[in-house]
Amino acid sequence: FKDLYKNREKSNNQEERRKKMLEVQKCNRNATTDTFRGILDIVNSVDTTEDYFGSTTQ
Amino acid sequence: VAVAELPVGQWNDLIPILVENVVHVQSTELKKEATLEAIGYICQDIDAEVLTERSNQILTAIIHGMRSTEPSNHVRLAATQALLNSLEFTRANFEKENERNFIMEVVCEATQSSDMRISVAALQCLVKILSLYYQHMEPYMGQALFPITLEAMKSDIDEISLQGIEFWSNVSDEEIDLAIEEAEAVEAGRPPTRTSRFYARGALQYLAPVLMQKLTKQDDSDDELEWNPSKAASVCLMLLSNCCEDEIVPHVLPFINCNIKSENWRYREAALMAFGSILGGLGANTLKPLVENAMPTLIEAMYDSSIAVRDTAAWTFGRICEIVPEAAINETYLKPLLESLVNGLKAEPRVAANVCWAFTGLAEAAYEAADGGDSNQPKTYCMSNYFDFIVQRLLETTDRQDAAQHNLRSAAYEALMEMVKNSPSDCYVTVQKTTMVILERLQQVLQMEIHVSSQADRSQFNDLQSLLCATLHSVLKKVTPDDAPQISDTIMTALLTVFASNAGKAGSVQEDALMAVSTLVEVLGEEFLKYMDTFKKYLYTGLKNHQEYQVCIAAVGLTGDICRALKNKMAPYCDEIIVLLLENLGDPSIHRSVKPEILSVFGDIALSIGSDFGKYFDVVMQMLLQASNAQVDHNDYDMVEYLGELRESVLEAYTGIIQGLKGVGSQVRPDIAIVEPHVPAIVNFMIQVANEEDRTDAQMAVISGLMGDLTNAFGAHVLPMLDTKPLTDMLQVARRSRVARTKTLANWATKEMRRVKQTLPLAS
Repeated sequence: FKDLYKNREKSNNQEERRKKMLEVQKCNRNATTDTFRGILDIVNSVDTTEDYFGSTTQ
Repeated sequence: VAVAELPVGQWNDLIPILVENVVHVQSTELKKEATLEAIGYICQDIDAEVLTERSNQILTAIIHGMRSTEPSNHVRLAATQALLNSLEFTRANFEKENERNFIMEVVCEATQSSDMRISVAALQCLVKILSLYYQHMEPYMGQALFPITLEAMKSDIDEISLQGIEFWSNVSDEEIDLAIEEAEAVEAGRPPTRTSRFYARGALQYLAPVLMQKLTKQDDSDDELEWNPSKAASVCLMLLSNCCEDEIVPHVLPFINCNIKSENWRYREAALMAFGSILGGLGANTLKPLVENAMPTLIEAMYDSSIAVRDTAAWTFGRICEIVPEAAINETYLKPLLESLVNGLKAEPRVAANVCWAFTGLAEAAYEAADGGDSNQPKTYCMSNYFDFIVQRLLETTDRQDAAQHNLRSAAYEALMEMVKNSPSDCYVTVQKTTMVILERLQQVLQMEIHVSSQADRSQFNDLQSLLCATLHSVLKKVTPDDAPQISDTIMTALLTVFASNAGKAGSVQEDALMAVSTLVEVLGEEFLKYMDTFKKYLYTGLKNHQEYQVCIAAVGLTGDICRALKNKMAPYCDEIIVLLLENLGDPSIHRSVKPEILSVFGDIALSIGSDFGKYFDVVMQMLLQASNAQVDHNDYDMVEYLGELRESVLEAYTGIIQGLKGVGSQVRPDIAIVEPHVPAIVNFMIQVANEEDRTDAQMAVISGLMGDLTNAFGAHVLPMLDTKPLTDMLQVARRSRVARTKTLANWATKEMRRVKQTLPLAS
């Protein structure tokens, strides 16, 4: 538990930067594929999407 | 030797020999001690499963050596230490009540030894037993564990006190996990597999006074590495608060109120520390008024005569900004708080470093509290009037002569990065100025390299370059698309100089410089092309850096960024990049975490170069099919997590390849035909992942998207494969996901499949 003392767990900034960078890259990749699908705007809109196609594909 | 031989079935008579050495009446004290030490080392270093079958024999020897009737303390100590190392493979013995009772009795007895070393080792055993066998502790808690550990906590001997505190930190930590598990089980509508016995809540009234007493026994020296009961007590209070939530307040608040203005700095600091420590567990209704009431006193504490008090006050502000920022960001307190913090930047390095942390939290909280309107970036926020002044003071702090102490330089740059990252539009002039300052500093630092002589200087020099690259990466994110091309030449020249310098050979510097290039690529888009011919050799160097895998990951990620920015202009560089990526995948020594990143980047490449990807298709597909078949030990949590990442990356790669070869729009390019023979294997893999019990939301999202992509690329032809129970069931779950993107993708895929199905002629 030593790392929990004061803000020592925050000392590895490069690790944090690394994680953030990977997250950004993942988001950008998703945005590119969603743009390709033509649904980026819907994906970026607020989470109000309903299950409007019912429960099966039938 | 035993650790090498026992796992491969050799030296099978070793354990019986060792046991005989300990239990034989004629064995000497030295022989018993040496044998128990050997058992301890074997238990420590060997895979637990190798010894599981021999646990009875090993425990017999250990417990024999630990008993109070053993006359030699040397033997008892060696036995107790061996027990500590053996606890992980004695699960079967702990499952049997009579054996468990016997072990617990011997361990508890050993905690009472007059030999401090035996007592400490036995307490360490109790800490570990609690963590490993929490569910079996009920019969012992009230009668033995609670009184033993409470007395240990009170001890004036630091080593003993530390173990007592550690025990209750572990209890709290375990019960926090159990509370989370229970909440998850309730949400999933199933009973929890393990339940909390709420020992921490029960013991709270007895533990809190002892812990607060320990808080007042601070070490006089300012040694960061020194671990003592006072520091351990602060962490224990933090965990108890997270575990017991608001219930902790009445046990701690009287101490805080009594001592926060004490004449003795130890009591003032302990009161502040107690206050800062309990914040994390409290509910919003308790927390906000508590912190608001305390704000004037806390601000006053920033000007205290004691360094320790100021240090803890600055840390407490950091906690407040992280946990309850609204209590700090209000009209009444913001200005005096900022004044006290700016003043704290000039204080001793340990105080200033905590002030920097407070600014980090404050910047983020102020930005979140601002009204962003329809755009992502707010026009202004509550710190706009002070922004330039704070940034200048932070820049001065990074330049302090003593900034190497207590990680101050790094903390100040980190605060600067967060201030810039979380800045509204009306602070943009300062962002522009800061970008230029950082660039100038980077250029100056590069010229200083010839003066670096010692190893220590080199290390500081490299750290500084890393931090400057990281700050550049942060400020670049805020630079507008209009400004970016004006400064990009200067930035790229500086970064190329970093890569070419000696410092650029250091992994940490290379990684931060690659991340800065990533941001430049994102800001410039296709205009990055003009740097590619000069830059490519450094990208390839990064891709070849198998040893420092974090650098390799940064280079792989940057490759994906460049693909997205340059699109089909990436094609001339792909031959070499694909070769390097394949080499990395084929290298068994490369860190496994690089592999999923590479697989995803295949998709990025395919999407960017479209038809041109055809020449790499066969070899890449081979890799993807191979990765699809990867299996791991399902008892190894890390490997299971890795397999999940690997599978997600394979699916991402398929997505990029199918989209890239199909082409944009409703027209399907003929290039997609090369994928068709592989579609059954791709769909089988999707089904395999969809059927997994522990499939992740992200996996469902990528499978849903891929179902839509396959439908669009291959039309009705692929529907019989996709419209099967495992995939439609998964789609149904994905449509109810809490993650907006997963839900949207599942709905979109359903719609696309339905649309294609409607074009089919009706069956007669």
